[in-house]
Amino acid sequence: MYLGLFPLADTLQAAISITIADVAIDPSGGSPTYRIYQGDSLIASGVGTLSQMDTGSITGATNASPIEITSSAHGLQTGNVVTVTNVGGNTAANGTFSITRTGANTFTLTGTTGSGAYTSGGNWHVTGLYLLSFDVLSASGFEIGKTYQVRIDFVNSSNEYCKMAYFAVT
Amino acid sequence: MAFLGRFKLGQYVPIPVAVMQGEEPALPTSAPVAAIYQGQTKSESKLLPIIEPGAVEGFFVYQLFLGFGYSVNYYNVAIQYKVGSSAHIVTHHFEIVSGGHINGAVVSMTFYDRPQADFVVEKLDGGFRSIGRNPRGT
Repeated sequence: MYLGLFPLADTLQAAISITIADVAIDPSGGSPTYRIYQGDSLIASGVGTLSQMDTGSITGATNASPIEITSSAHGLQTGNVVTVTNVGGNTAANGTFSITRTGANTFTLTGTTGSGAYTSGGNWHVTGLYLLSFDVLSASGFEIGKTYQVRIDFVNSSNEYCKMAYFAVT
Repeated sequence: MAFLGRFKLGQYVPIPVAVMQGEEPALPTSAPVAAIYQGQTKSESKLLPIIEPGAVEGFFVYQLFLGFGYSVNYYNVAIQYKVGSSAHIVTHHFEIVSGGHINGAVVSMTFYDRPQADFVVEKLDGGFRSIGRNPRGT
């Protein structure tokens, strides 16, 4: 996966899809980690972040079929697939679902039926979508004109997986 | 997933996805959805139309016009689709470099006979109309 060209001193913010056999997942072994190499030398480890991208907070989940989620200005479209976590009360809302947009602040979870009254909490994120973000600084070892490799590691169901990404500094 | 290239404002970025199940082309349960992000801020979402359904299976391309709302920057694209019960995601990236204009290029032009021949009316990629001086007018 080639990410592009980034000027020195710029911030790299690249979307990374975490997949197994092209199927989107959120690794059961925790957030993915990454290391950056130039040639055979480790350049940066622990610089920047690789975290879930396109996330939102939930303020309501109807006890109905399908469950309708309230999330302010969610920006999702019908056909998006999201993972919902930490919904209290109506716990049937927790899981990974296709959504149907019903408004700027609401969407339904396809194939769900409420399991109780919503009490509190809840978050959603687009399944398998992560943001790699770090500053391309000479102090971190980056140089103009060189190409770098990013190795991304994650664990799912006790199995280890890795992906590679590449970028150049201009 | 790929780096789609460097573009200028007013150009079209082809956003493709070949829908796969394993290593085989497949049809998704509904049209793939592409979300375009500047950094991690979503710019817009688009449904991808199918291309050549009679010749190839599961190939979708959206022509994204770089008009209003876009600027010189680095963009991420996340495309989601489902095949059966499996949710898939593909990411692309592209960059907008300086140059171009959010209204795009002239796609059609109308001119008038005399005595109005001093002007031409142009339609632009971005949907706008403009009036320009007819270089062959009097």
